[in-house]
Parts: sequence; C-alpha cells; structure tokens
Amino acid sequence: MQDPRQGHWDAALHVLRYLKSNPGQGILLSPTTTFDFQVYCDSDWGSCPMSRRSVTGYFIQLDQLPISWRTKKQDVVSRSSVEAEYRAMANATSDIVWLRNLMATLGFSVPPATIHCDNQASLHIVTNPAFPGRTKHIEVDCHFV
Amino acid sequence: MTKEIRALEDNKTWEFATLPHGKTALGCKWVYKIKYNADGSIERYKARLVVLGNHQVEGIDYNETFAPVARMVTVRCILTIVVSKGWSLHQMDVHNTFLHGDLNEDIYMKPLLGFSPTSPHLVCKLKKSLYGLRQAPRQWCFKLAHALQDYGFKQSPLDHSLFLYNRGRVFLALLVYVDDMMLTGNSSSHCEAFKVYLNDCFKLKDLGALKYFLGIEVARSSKGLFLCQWKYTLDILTETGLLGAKPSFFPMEQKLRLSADSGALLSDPS
Repeated sequence: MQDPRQGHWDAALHVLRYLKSNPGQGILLSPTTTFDFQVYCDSDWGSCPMSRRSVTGYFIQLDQLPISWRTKKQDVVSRSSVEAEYRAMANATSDIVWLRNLMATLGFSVPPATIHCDNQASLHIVTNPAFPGRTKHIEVDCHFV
Repeated sequence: MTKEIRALEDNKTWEFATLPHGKTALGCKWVYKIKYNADGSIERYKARLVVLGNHQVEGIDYNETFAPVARMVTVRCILTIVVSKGWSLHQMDVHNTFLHGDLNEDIYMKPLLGFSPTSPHLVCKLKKSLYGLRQAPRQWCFKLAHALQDYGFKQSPLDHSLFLYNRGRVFLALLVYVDDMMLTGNSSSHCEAFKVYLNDCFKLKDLGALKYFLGIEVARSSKGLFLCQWKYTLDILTETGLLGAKPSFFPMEQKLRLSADSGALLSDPS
C-alpha cells in the first residue's frame, strides 16, 4: 500500500473495533458423515474505482463447516457482469477440484460438489454446451467449469 | 544461552578452519526472546544464535531458498476428518529445528565472542545450517522429508507439507509447518511408535493433544473442535492500543468506496 489516506486509516481502525466486539469468535468443527461440498461464489463487477476490475469471492462449506474462503480482485477487466461472475465460478471450481483431490488422497470418497451462483446468465453458459459467440473470450480462461 | 551453545556443540555445527582466499566470513549475533504459552504466561526465556544471513550473496552462499508451508485449508480439512472419525490429534515441536539441516554450500562464520579459537586467523566453517541462513528452512525441509520417507511416509503432491502413511489398515497423516507438526491417524499406538522414531532422528518436544497450532487455539469437546484466535486478536488490539475502543458490530461500513486519490494524505504512514 503506497500513499495511505485518512479514509484507509479509518477503515483499518474500524476492522480492529470489530475484532474488539467479539475476540473469542471462532469456528466449530462438528462431526460429519457425508463429505458433501457446497460452493457459493459471487462477484462484484467493476467495483474497483481505479481499475474497474471486478472482485471474486467464494466460500466453500463441507457439510455446513466452513473450509475455504477467498476474496480477490480479478486480474483482468471483465466486460460484463456475466463474465466477472463466470470467472469467479472458475476460480471456485479450481479450488474445489483441489479440495476433492485432497480428500481423495486422504482416503475419502467425495460426492460431486454443488456450486451455487446467483447469476442466471452464467448458469446458462455452464449448462449450455454450445457457447454463444459473444462469450468466446471468456471461454479461453474459464472453460473448465 | 548455555543450552543453545550445548545444542550447537552436540550437533557439531561448525569446525575451525582457515578462511580460503576470496571468501568472506559472516557475522553472527545472539537474539533473546521470551516465549509465551497459549494463555499468555511466560514459558521460558530463550537465547538463539543467528548468522547474519542478510550478508549472504546469491549464487555463492546459497542457491535455492524455497520451502513449502502448510495451507490453512489443508489444516481445516484434516481437522474436519479428525473430528468426524474421532481420531486422536498430536502436536510436536522440534528442538533447534534449523540446526538439523545439512549444508551444500561452503559458508564461513566469524567465531563467537568468548569462544575464540587458538589462532586468531581461524574462522568457523559451518557444517550444519544455522538460524539466519537463507537456505536454512529449505535444508531442514529436505532433511525432514528424507527421514519421513525412510519411515514409509509419502509426500502429498497436493500440499507438499502434508505427509501420508498408508500401510494395511494403518493410516497416519502428518502436517508440517516448519517445525510445528500435527499428527493424526486411525491408530494411537502407531502414532506413538512414529513419535519415538522421529524423536530418534531429531530432538522432539511432544506437546500432547493439539491445543495451539499456528496461532489458532483448538479446544476439543464432545460436540467437536472449536477453533479461535482469541489470544492473537487481543495481541493485535493491545499492539494498536485499541483495547478500550468502542466495539463495532460490522467490519466495514456499507457501500464504502476507498480510492487512492481522495481524502487527506496521512502525514506519517509508518
């Protein structure tokens, strides 16, 4: 972070004040029987005011237990919210593939993961094997969803 | 401090030698630290000899420095499995971790004050890696991986800090974060046997059941495992002097837009 401003400082203090409100909060891992992954992903299109890049966010649950989460500014500019959303999905998918492999090496059979996404157009791209011409540029990056 | 020197001598970390032409000897110094328990009470005072690795030159004094560490996701995955299967969890710590690594490069160190050799021209030639050397974590990692492979562990290609042992019905998983290790498996007796083996290779401190791993407090009950970072949070608050601040219930204001060119520039960013 170069050139931090007053607004950034206030935001940082705000986070610390939030920590103050409940320092003992944590995660409870309780016993599970089925290793059923749920993936929730979302994106915020063009949210960075400087570069207009979008933000990816995803959250992976293993039977209600939070396992993996991440939010990251995407490294390319998306031309539509669908593209941003689809990219977020691709990131989440690559992580879930890794997680399922890890579980498999630990000797557990994992049922296919469910990915939840709130963008209808992206869902259409996923379910439709024939990509429409306008999505060709996304395909290169994210075709493995 | 005497403990550390004894460890160094037991380990045959260096031998005295004359400095070859064209080589420089690295300086060293003592670092003193107070170690705390999970609840904040003082565990012990510690002295550690470090080499000034920041004077090392790449290509001459060291080549590769990469060393893997565990991903938090892997830690959570393992813990979930442990809870579901009701396995036991053990935590170990290696004494003087980096002193175990062997060195591939020739490195010379100025002798310690008070431990000067007979001739003033002699310097210490390092045989084992020492804290502060750039390659120390990597060399340790190699050494550990070899010891584990001799026992029958396999390094997981998905996370290089995860080692798995699979023989017959016995399954052990070991997660390594530099010198902190987390061991679990479906057989307690095999866990114990493995600990004895590892203790023979390196000097091990058995910390018993997992309680405090990588700054995360772990509590086990009949309902499951509870992970929290209570001590770490309080440390941050104390450090920033915000212990008495008014608590807020959300981490961020809604619709907050931060930008790099609006608002007053902070006069003293550090």
